[in-house]
Amino acid sequence: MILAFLTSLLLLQTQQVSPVVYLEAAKTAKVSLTIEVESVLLVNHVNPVLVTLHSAFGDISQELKGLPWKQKPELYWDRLEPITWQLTIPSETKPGIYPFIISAELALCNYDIGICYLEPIELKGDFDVSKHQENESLRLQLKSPKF
Amino acid sequence: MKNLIYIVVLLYAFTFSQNRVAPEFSASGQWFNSEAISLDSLKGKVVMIEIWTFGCYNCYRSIPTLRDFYSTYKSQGFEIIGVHSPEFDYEKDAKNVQEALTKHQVSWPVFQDNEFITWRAYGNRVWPSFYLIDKNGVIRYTHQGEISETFPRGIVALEQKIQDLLAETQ
Repeated sequence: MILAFLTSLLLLQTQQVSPVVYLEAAKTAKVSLTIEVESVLLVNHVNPVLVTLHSAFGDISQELKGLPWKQKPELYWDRLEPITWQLTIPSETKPGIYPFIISAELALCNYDIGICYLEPIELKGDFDVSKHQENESLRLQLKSPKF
Repeated sequence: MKNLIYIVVLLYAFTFSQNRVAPEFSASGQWFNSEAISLDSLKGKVVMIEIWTFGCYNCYRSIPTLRDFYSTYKSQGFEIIGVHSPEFDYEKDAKNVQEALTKHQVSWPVFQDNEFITWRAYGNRVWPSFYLIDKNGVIRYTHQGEISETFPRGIVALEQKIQDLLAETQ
Protein backbone atom coordinates (compact mmCIF):
# COMPACT_ATOMS: atom_id res chain seq x y z
CA MET A 1 0.00 0.00 0.00
CA ILE A 2 2.84 2.35 0.88
CA LEU A 3 4.50 1.48 -2.42
CA ALA A 4 1.29 2.35 -4.27
CA PHE A 5 1.08 5.60 -2.38
CA LEU A 6 4.68 6.55 -3.15
CA THR A 7 4.11 5.69 -6.79
CA SER A 8 1.10 7.97 -6.86
CA LEU A 9 3.20 10.77 -5.40
CA LEU A 10 5.69 10.42 -8.18
CA LEU A 11 2.86 10.66 -10.68
CA LEU A 12 1.74 13.88 -9.01
CA GLN A 13 4.51 15.73 -10.69
CA THR A 14 3.85 16.99 -14.17
CA GLN A 15 6.00 15.08 -16.58
CA GLN A 16 8.24 17.29 -18.60
CA VAL A 17 11.46 17.48 -20.54
CA SER A 18 14.22 20.08 -20.28
CA PRO A 19 14.46 21.41 -23.78
CA VAL A 20 16.79 23.77 -25.60
CA VAL A 21 15.45 26.37 -27.99
CA TYR A 22 17.87 27.89 -30.49
CA LEU A 23 17.65 31.63 -31.14
CA GLU A 24 19.67 34.17 -33.04
CA ALA A 25 20.53 37.69 -31.96
CA ALA A 26 18.80 40.50 -33.85
CA LYS A 27 16.08 38.18 -35.10
CA THR A 28 12.50 37.43 -34.21
CA ALA A 29 11.75 33.88 -33.30
CA LYS A 30 8.69 31.86 -32.48
CA VAL A 31 8.59 29.60 -29.46
CA SER A 32 5.79 27.06 -29.45
CA LEU A 33 4.43 24.85 -26.71
CA THR A 34 2.11 21.90 -27.07
CA ILE A 35 0.36 20.78 -23.89
CA GLU A 36 -0.84 17.20 -24.12
CA VAL A 37 -3.73 16.48 -21.79
CA GLU A 38 -4.33 12.96 -20.51
CA SER A 39 -7.64 11.64 -21.83
CA VAL A 40 -9.40 11.70 -18.44
CA LEU A 41 -8.52 15.34 -17.75
CA LEU A 42 -10.53 18.47 -18.47
CA VAL A 43 -9.29 22.06 -18.35
CA ASN A 44 -11.67 24.63 -16.90
CA HIS A 45 -11.84 27.77 -19.03
CA VAL A 46 -14.42 29.85 -17.15
CA ASN A 47 -11.60 32.27 -16.39
CA PRO A 48 -8.98 33.13 -19.02
CA VAL A 49 -5.92 30.94 -18.57
CA LEU A 50 -2.63 32.75 -19.16
CA VAL A 51 0.56 30.88 -19.92
CA THR A 52 3.65 33.01 -19.34
CA LEU A 53 7.11 32.68 -20.82
CA HIS A 54 9.68 34.18 -18.44
CA SER A 55 13.18 34.85 -19.73
CA ALA A 56 15.92 37.43 -19.98
CA PHE A 57 14.07 38.71 -23.04
CA GLY A 58 10.99 39.61 -21.02
CA ASP A 59 7.83 38.01 -19.67
CA ILE A 60 5.21 37.33 -22.30
CA SER A 61 1.77 35.89 -21.58
CA GLN A 62 -0.49 34.12 -24.02
CA GLU A 63 -4.07 33.09 -23.44
CA LEU A 64 -4.63 29.37 -23.61
CA LYS A 65 -7.24 28.07 -26.05
CA GLY A 66 -8.73 24.64 -26.34
CA LEU A 67 -11.31 22.38 -27.83
CA PRO A 68 -14.63 22.20 -25.98
CA TRP A 69 -15.58 19.09 -24.07
CA LYS A 70 -18.85 17.96 -25.63
CA GLN A 71 -20.66 17.29 -22.36
CA LYS A 72 -20.01 20.74 -20.89
CA PRO A 73 -18.48 22.96 -23.58
CA GLU A 74 -19.06 26.20 -21.70
CA LEU A 75 -16.94 24.98 -18.78
CA TYR A 76 -14.25 22.64 -20.05
CA TRP A 77 -11.78 21.88 -22.80
CA ASP A 78 -10.60 18.34 -23.29
CA ARG A 79 -7.71 19.26 -25.60
CA LEU A 80 -5.53 22.34 -25.83
CA GLU A 81 -4.32 24.26 -28.83
CA PRO A 82 -0.58 24.90 -29.19
CA ILE A 83 0.64 28.22 -27.81
CA THR A 84 3.14 30.40 -29.67
CA TRP A 85 5.16 33.30 -28.34
CA GLN A 86 6.99 35.72 -30.60
CA LEU A 87 10.37 36.78 -29.22
CA THR A 88 12.63 39.49 -30.51
CA ILE A 89 16.23 38.93 -29.51
CA PRO A 90 18.18 42.20 -29.17
CA SER A 91 21.11 42.60 -31.54
CA GLU A 92 23.54 43.17 -28.67
CA THR A 93 22.70 39.79 -27.10
CA LYS A 94 25.87 37.84 -26.47
CA PRO A 95 25.98 34.21 -27.58
CA GLY A 96 25.23 31.89 -24.69
CA ILE A 97 22.64 30.04 -22.71
CA TYR A 98 19.65 31.93 -21.29
CA PRO A 99 17.26 29.98 -19.04
CA PHE A 100 13.53 30.29 -19.51
CA ILE A 101 10.52 29.16 -17.53
CA ILE A 102 7.01 28.68 -18.84
CA SER A 103 4.38 28.76 -16.11
CA ALA A 104 0.65 28.74 -15.61
CA GLU A 105 -1.95 27.53 -13.19
CA LEU A 106 -4.63 25.26 -14.62
CA ALA A 107 -7.94 24.32 -13.07
CA LEU A 108 -8.30 20.65 -13.92
CA CYS A 109 -10.91 17.98 -13.41
CA ASN A 110 -10.50 14.25 -13.74
CA TYR A 111 -13.84 12.97 -15.01
CA ASP A 112 -12.84 9.38 -14.44
CA ILE A 113 -12.81 9.78 -10.66
CA GLY A 114 -14.89 12.96 -10.34
CA ILE A 115 -12.46 15.38 -8.75
CA CYS A 116 -11.23 18.89 -9.55
CA TYR A 117 -8.00 20.55 -8.46
CA LEU A 118 -5.58 23.34 -9.26
CA GLU A 119 -2.35 22.34 -10.95
CA PRO A 120 0.57 24.75 -11.28
CA ILE A 121 2.54 23.83 -14.36
CA GLU A 122 6.10 24.76 -15.06
CA LEU A 123 8.47 23.94 -17.88
CA LYS A 124 12.12 24.94 -17.55
CA GLY A 125 14.46 25.10 -20.49
CA ASP A 126 17.27 27.07 -22.09
CA PHE A 127 17.49 29.47 -24.96
CA ASP A 128 20.73 28.86 -26.82
CA VAL A 129 21.68 32.07 -28.57
CA SER A 130 24.54 30.81 -30.67
CA LYS A 131 23.43 29.33 -33.94
CA HIS A 132 20.50 28.95 -36.26
CA GLN A 133 18.64 25.69 -35.92
CA GLU A 134 15.07 24.69 -36.51
CA ASN A 135 13.14 24.27 -33.28
CA GLU A 136 10.46 21.74 -32.59
CA SER A 137 7.47 22.69 -30.50
CA LEU A 138 8.09 22.31 -26.78
CA ARG A 139 5.99 19.60 -25.20
CA LEU A 140 4.45 19.24 -21.80
CA GLN A 141 2.31 16.33 -20.65
CA LEU A 142 -0.45 16.79 -18.13
CA LYS A 143 -1.17 13.63 -16.21
CA SER A 144 -3.65 13.16 -13.46
CA PRO A 145 -2.38 12.46 -9.99
CA LYS A 146 -3.64 9.24 -8.43
CA PHE A 147 -5.85 10.16 -5.51
CA MET B 1 16.35 15.54 -0.63
CA LYS B 2 13.48 18.00 -1.18
CA ASN B 3 11.45 15.24 -2.79
CA LEU B 4 12.10 12.94 0.16
CA ILE B 5 10.87 15.57 2.63
CA TYR B 6 7.82 16.14 0.44
CA ILE B 7 7.03 12.42 0.39
CA VAL B 8 7.47 12.07 4.17
CA VAL B 9 5.21 15.07 4.85
CA LEU B 10 2.49 13.78 2.54
CA LEU B 11 2.77 10.26 3.96
CA TYR B 12 2.27 11.76 7.42
CA ALA B 13 -0.73 13.77 6.23
CA PHE B 14 -2.23 10.70 4.55
CA THR B 15 -1.78 8.54 7.64
CA PHE B 16 -3.29 11.03 10.06
CA SER B 17 -6.03 12.55 7.90
CA GLN B 18 -8.47 10.09 9.46
CA ASN B 19 -8.97 9.46 13.16
CA ARG B 20 -7.74 12.89 14.14
CA VAL B 21 -9.67 15.62 15.88
CA ALA B 22 -11.50 17.66 13.27
CA PRO B 23 -10.23 21.24 13.05
CA GLU B 24 -12.68 23.94 14.07
CA PHE B 25 -14.28 25.90 11.21
CA SER B 26 -12.95 29.30 10.37
CA ALA B 27 -15.24 31.18 8.02
CA SER B 28 -13.70 33.82 5.79
CA GLY B 29 -16.90 35.28 4.45
CA GLN B 30 -20.55 34.80 5.16
CA TRP B 31 -22.71 31.98 6.51
CA PHE B 32 -25.79 30.84 4.60
CA ASN B 33 -28.84 28.92 5.83
CA SER B 34 -27.68 29.42 9.42
CA GLU B 35 -26.14 31.77 11.93
CA ALA B 36 -22.44 31.12 12.46
CA ILE B 37 -22.00 27.83 14.28
CA SER B 38 -18.98 26.07 15.68
CA LEU B 39 -17.98 22.47 15.22
CA ASP B 40 -17.72 22.23 18.98
CA SER B 41 -21.43 23.05 19.30
CA LEU B 42 -22.21 20.01 17.13
CA LYS B 43 -20.58 17.50 19.49
CA GLY B 44 -22.89 14.54 19.94
CA LYS B 45 -23.96 14.69 16.29
CA VAL B 46 -22.49 13.08 13.19
CA VAL B 47 -21.22 15.85 10.97
CA MET B 48 -20.28 15.77 7.32
CA ILE B 49 -17.93 18.50 6.19
CA GLU B 50 -18.35 19.04 2.47
CA ILE B 51 -15.60 21.08 0.84
CA TRP B 52 -16.89 22.33 -2.50
CA THR B 53 -17.38 25.28 -4.79
CA PHE B 54 -20.48 25.99 -6.83
CA GLY B 55 -18.71 26.25 -10.20
CA CYS B 56 -17.19 22.80 -9.90
CA TYR B 57 -18.98 20.26 -12.07
CA ASN B 58 -18.21 17.34 -9.77
CA CYS B 59 -19.39 19.36 -6.77
CA TYR B 60 -22.82 20.40 -7.95
CA ARG B 61 -23.48 16.94 -9.37
CA SER B 62 -22.95 15.62 -5.81
CA ILE B 63 -25.63 17.84 -4.30
CA PRO B 64 -28.63 15.56 -4.99
CA THR B 65 -26.89 12.80 -3.02
CA LEU B 66 -26.26 15.20 -0.16
CA ARG B 67 -29.91 16.27 -0.24
CA ASP B 68 -30.88 12.59 0.10
CA PHE B 69 -28.50 12.08 3.03
CA TYR B 70 -29.78 15.23 4.71
CA SER B 71 -33.47 14.39 4.40
CA THR B 72 -32.91 10.79 5.51
CA TYR B 73 -30.57 11.27 8.47
CA LYS B 74 -30.97 14.81 9.80
CA SER B 75 -33.68 13.78 12.25
CA GLN B 76 -31.31 11.11 13.63
CA GLY B 77 -28.59 13.59 14.54
CA PHE B 78 -26.79 14.08 11.23
CA GLU B 79 -25.62 17.49 10.04
CA ILE B 80 -23.90 18.72 6.90
CA ILE B 81 -21.70 21.78 6.90
CA GLY B 82 -20.77 23.08 3.47
CA VAL B 83 -17.38 24.71 3.26
CA HIS B 84 -17.41 26.84 0.13
CA SER B 85 -13.77 27.16 -0.98
CA PRO B 86 -13.82 29.04 -4.29
CA GLU B 87 -11.74 27.96 -7.26
CA PHE B 88 -12.22 31.26 -9.13
CA ASP B 89 -12.80 34.88 -8.17
CA TYR B 90 -16.45 34.97 -9.24
CA GLU B 91 -17.11 32.14 -6.79
CA LYS B 92 -16.01 34.39 -3.90
CA ASP B 93 -19.02 36.66 -4.30
CA ALA B 94 -21.62 35.95 -1.59
CA LYS B 95 -24.45 36.86 -3.97
CA ASN B 96 -23.31 34.25 -6.47
CA VAL B 97 -22.98 31.65 -3.72
CA GLN B 98 -26.51 32.40 -2.52
CA GLU B 99 -27.87 32.06 -6.07
CA ALA B 100 -26.18 28.68 -6.43
CA LEU B 101 -27.55 27.47 -3.08
CA THR B 102 -31.05 28.45 -4.16
CA LYS B 103 -30.67 26.89 -7.60
CA HIS B 104 -29.42 23.59 -6.18
CA GLN B 105 -31.84 23.62 -3.22
CA VAL B 106 -29.12 23.46 -0.61
CA SER B 107 -30.73 23.82 2.81
CA TRP B 108 -27.87 22.87 5.16
CA PRO B 109 -25.49 25.45 6.65
CA VAL B 110 -22.76 26.66 4.32
CA PHE B 111 -20.00 29.15 4.96
CA GLN B 112 -17.53 30.90 2.72
CA ASP B 113 -13.93 29.78 3.01
CA ASN B 114 -12.64 32.50 0.70
CA GLU B 115 -9.21 32.54 2.34
CA PHE B 116 -8.96 28.71 2.29
CA ILE B 117 -8.38 28.65 6.05
CA THR B 118 -10.61 25.63 6.61
CA TRP B 119 -9.37 23.98 3.39
CA ARG B 120 -5.81 24.15 4.72
CA ALA B 121 -6.78 23.13 8.26
CA TYR B 122 -8.24 19.91 6.87
CA GLY B 123 -5.25 19.36 4.57
CA ASN B 124 -7.62 19.35 1.63
CA ARG B 125 -6.42 19.00 -1.96
CA VAL B 126 -9.40 18.57 -4.27
CA TRP B 127 -13.02 19.47 -4.88
CA PRO B 128 -15.31 17.94 -3.75
CA SER B 129 -14.13 16.34 -0.51
CA PHE B 130 -16.18 14.89 2.31
CA TYR B 131 -15.12 14.42 5.93
CA LEU B 132 -17.29 12.44 8.34
CA ILE B 133 -16.91 13.47 11.95
CA ASP B 134 -18.16 11.36 14.83
CA LYS B 135 -20.02 12.43 17.98
CA ASN B 136 -16.70 13.20 19.68
CA GLY B 137 -15.44 15.49 16.94
CA VAL B 138 -13.03 12.98 15.41
CA ILE B 139 -12.66 12.55 11.63
CA ARG B 140 -13.58 8.93 11.02
CA TYR B 141 -13.90 8.77 7.25
CA THR B 142 -12.97 10.82 4.21
CA HIS B 143 -13.99 10.63 0.59
CA GLN B 144 -12.69 12.61 -2.36
CA GLY B 145 -14.64 13.00 -5.56
CA GLU B 146 -18.14 13.23 -6.95
CA ILE B 147 -20.91 11.20 -5.33
CA SER B 148 -23.71 10.71 -7.82
CA GLU B 149 -25.31 8.12 -10.08
CA THR B 150 -22.14 8.32 -12.15
CA PHE B 151 -19.99 7.62 -9.11
CA PRO B 152 -22.17 5.44 -6.85
CA ARG B 153 -19.36 3.72 -4.94
CA GLY B 154 -18.73 6.83 -2.90
CA ILE B 155 -22.40 7.00 -1.96
CA VAL B 156 -22.51 3.45 -0.66
CA ALA B 157 -19.38 3.86 1.44
CA LEU B 158 -20.40 7.23 2.86
CA GLU B 159 -23.92 6.16 3.68
CA GLN B 160 -22.71 3.02 5.46
CA LYS B 161 -20.31 5.12 7.51
CA ILE B 162 -23.03 7.65 8.37
CA GLN B 163 -25.21 4.80 9.63
CA ASP B 164 -22.32 3.33 11.64
CA LEU B 165 -21.49 6.65 13.25
CA LEU B 166 -25.13 7.42 13.99
CA ALA B 167 -25.41 4.01 15.70
CA GLU B 168 -22.58 5.09 17.99
CA THR B 169 -24.64 8.07 19.15
CA GLN B 170 -27.45 5.86 20.47
